[in-house]
Amino acid sequence: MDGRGSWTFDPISRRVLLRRGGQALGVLAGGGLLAACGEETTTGGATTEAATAAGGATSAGATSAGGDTAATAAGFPVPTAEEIAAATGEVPVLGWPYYESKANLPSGVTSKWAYLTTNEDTLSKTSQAGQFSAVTIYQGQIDQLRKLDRIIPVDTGLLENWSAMAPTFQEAEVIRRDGQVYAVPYHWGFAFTHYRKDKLAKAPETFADLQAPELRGKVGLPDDPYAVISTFALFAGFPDANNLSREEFDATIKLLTDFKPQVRTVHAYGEEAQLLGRGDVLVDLPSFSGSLVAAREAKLDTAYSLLGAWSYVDCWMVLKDGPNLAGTYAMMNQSLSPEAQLETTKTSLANPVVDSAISALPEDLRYEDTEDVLAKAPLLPGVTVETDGGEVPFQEWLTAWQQFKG
Amino acid sequence: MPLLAYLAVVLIVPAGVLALYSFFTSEFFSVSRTLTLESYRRFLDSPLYLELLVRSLAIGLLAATLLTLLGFAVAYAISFRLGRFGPRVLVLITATLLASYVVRIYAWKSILGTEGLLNDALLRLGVISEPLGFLLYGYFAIIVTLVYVYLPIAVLPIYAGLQDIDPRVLEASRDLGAGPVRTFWTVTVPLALPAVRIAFLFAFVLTASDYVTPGLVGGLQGQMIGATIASQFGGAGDYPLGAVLAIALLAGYGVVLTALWALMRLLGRLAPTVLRRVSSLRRPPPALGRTLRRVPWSVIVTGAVVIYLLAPLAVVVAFSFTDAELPVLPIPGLTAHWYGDVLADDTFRRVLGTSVTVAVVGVTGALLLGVPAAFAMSRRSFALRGVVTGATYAPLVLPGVVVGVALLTACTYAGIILGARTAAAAHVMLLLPYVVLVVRTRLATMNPKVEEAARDLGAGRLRTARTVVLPQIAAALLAATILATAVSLDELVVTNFAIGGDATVPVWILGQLRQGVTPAINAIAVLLLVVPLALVGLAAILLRARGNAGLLRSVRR
Repeated sequence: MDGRGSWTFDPISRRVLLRRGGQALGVLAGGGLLAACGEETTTGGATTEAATAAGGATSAGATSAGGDTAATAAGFPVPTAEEIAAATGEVPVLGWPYYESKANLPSGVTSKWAYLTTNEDTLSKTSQAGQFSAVTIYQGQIDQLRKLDRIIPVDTGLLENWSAMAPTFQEAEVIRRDGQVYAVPYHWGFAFTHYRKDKLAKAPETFADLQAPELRGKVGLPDDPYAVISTFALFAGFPDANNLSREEFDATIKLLTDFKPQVRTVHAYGEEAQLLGRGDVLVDLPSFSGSLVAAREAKLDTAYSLLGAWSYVDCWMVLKDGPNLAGTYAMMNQSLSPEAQLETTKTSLANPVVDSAISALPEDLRYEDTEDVLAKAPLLPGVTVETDGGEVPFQEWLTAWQQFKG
Repeated sequence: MPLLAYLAVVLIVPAGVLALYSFFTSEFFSVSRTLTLESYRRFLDSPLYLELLVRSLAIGLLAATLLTLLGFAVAYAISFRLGRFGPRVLVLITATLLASYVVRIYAWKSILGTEGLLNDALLRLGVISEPLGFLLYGYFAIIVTLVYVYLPIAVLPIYAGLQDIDPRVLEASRDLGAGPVRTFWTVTVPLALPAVRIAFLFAFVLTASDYVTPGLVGGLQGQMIGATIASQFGGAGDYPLGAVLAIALLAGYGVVLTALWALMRLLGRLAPTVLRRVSSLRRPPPALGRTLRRVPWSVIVTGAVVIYLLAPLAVVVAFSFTDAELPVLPIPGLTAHWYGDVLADDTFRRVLGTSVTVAVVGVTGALLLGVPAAFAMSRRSFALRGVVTGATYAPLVLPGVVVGVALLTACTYAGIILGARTAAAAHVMLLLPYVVLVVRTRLATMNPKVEEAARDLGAGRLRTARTVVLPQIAAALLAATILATAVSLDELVVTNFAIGGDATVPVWILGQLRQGVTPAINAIAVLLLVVPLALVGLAAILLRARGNAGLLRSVRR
């Protein structure tokens, strides 16, 4: 072929192009690397400066109708009651797909959801300031998100439906830090030991029952360090299962490691019913309401015991610098209405925080008294991420979990 | 040049930033940017990380070996044994990539579980007296599913390499007295070796860095280094250690591949001697030899592979029609209402729209950048050719979690809001290697003299491209489009980091799985398989009709 081929580049213009491209690349790369070589910072661009509202209607010091107004008093951005009542526009939310419901949206407000695939996604996906207004996640992540300066407190006095919530959640310490409410309870659940009734001669009522030879290689654990280590801390005799001293933590991990021969698999949430149904495991723990419902739907003969039981509460958390703060408050408020709770209980299969919606639960998951359940399955606060206290931080929980699995 | 600039922006600079992070330290997302080797020391001091690295590389090595052997057998059968059925089998194998791979992996659990289909069949046949426990949740399941997931990707480059072999060379070998076995070992295999190496490289890198599949089926053996890397960028908040682990994985690739290269060289030196000695050995009795030669081994392997690839799909299709609330066996009755439910779901329609948008932009971008790049790499020698080629294939070699995190970090620094646009840009990069690979393969078998003749006969560049080049590469473009679309629609790891405030179908499905695999999710997987295939089939029919019409016109003239 001669040089007139269709695909020949002119040598001079290519050199020019290369040079200019190289210069542009240098500027780009230099900028990126220089940015990366700055002073100490928090990954993901979060800063530790005082909170300032970047979007949405905000008014520090706005008056509220009552309730916990510490957020307002502390100068964090909050909308006024009037702004909430007149809220319109889109609220971008990060959360679990099964919590998405039109029933949560007051007139004029829409939502756009992005989805979590793991609890830890909360940390990576909220790294860009201003992308989301709210996240639905369990209360245990308050400390992690606070540490990263990603969430702001909520003025519950601005939520008219706050009072519709069961008092135990209104007053729960696990949603508060430094006297301020950082998480608005949305749905809750309790962990239990789920087992094949038809295959076990006796219900597992003690930890010793779980260690029985016939359960060797027949126990399933979810791939969730928080859930599993909390459960084993309770088995180890530490009721304050999220605040473990070094000795308590080591004892818990030893118990878990010694239990390894009983474990068939570490699985993703949602697999429990199929694992039990296929006979891969005969016991799964900690398990949650969804797995019990799925087992019922699959017509499996399973039951649960409150061995190692504890509770969690999935909450709304308001992200700093999120757009449409007034809309976010309006949406959170609507989600606490009895009607919305009825609807989201049906779709999520998680317990409502408004007792009147308990009727939406499948029959064998209904309970008479929230307090009574919480007494048997205590609500845990979450694990610290601070490394300078007396408690083992969550980072070490993760490492221990990787070691257990590895 | 546009390709290099693009790759620099979306890949090289983010990877550079990530490499820089390996010299920082961190305490729960709070990064101290004083340069230090502390994170490297932590990696070397931890037996856990080294063990996970070795485990991942060993699994990758085993899976890649199996993938290459099976891939070769299948590609050989398609190229030389199956005749007109060959291309159809190739399309069938490639098409399995379209159904959501997470859902297909779940289907494997129904096959391999204690009371799964395989154990049930073996029990009924009386082969076993009690269920085999090792089938699921262990290394067996990890290898079975990894080979399953990546087999189409191993077959394609080998098939492409075999297409490049001039049949006259094989004929010459026969004419010179070599039998089919000797021709195979001394002509076909050596000529296919470059493609086999590429297939092995892809298979090794992809399987060693995959952590989703082993995590789903491997039980306590399913923890891979990729999951630990992802964890450092997630809950652990230790980007520097994550960066070190990613670099260690890349270094591990280097060590293994260098060792293999040295081994291959050694075997290459020994091969003539070994072949001579084998030839001098007493041959099997003529009747047995003839019988063995008559057995169509590659066809048998291909048949088994097709069953292996289609079995989980059959399970997915069956579960999508179950009238039970859960996809469990036995299926009590049939219904199609899950399809109706899925199609009526606003959220599914939204995330499907995002997936389709990302795929269309990603595939179009990859074609626009990849086709000229393939031409440049095949037909021209130019400065930075090695760099461009390396950068083009880099997204296949780099673990998805590393690419995803590098993008997330770079976008955050640059103030670029993550969303469908950034995911589409990432997909262009991820799909490029597939497009370049397929188009380059076709170009290698095209005779450039035909284009030259067209130019000599007065056709301009555009006319030559339109009337000579395009018809010749149309099938390759279609194949590249199918493959790229399949990869894009199913991509999860990078997308999950780059999608920001939007969501694609795989991200949404993974969130849904927290409440279990439902028949509706199986219905989605079937739709993702059938709809693109129907569209591609339609395109193929139109192309053929157009080709026939063109032929008819030529005859009339």
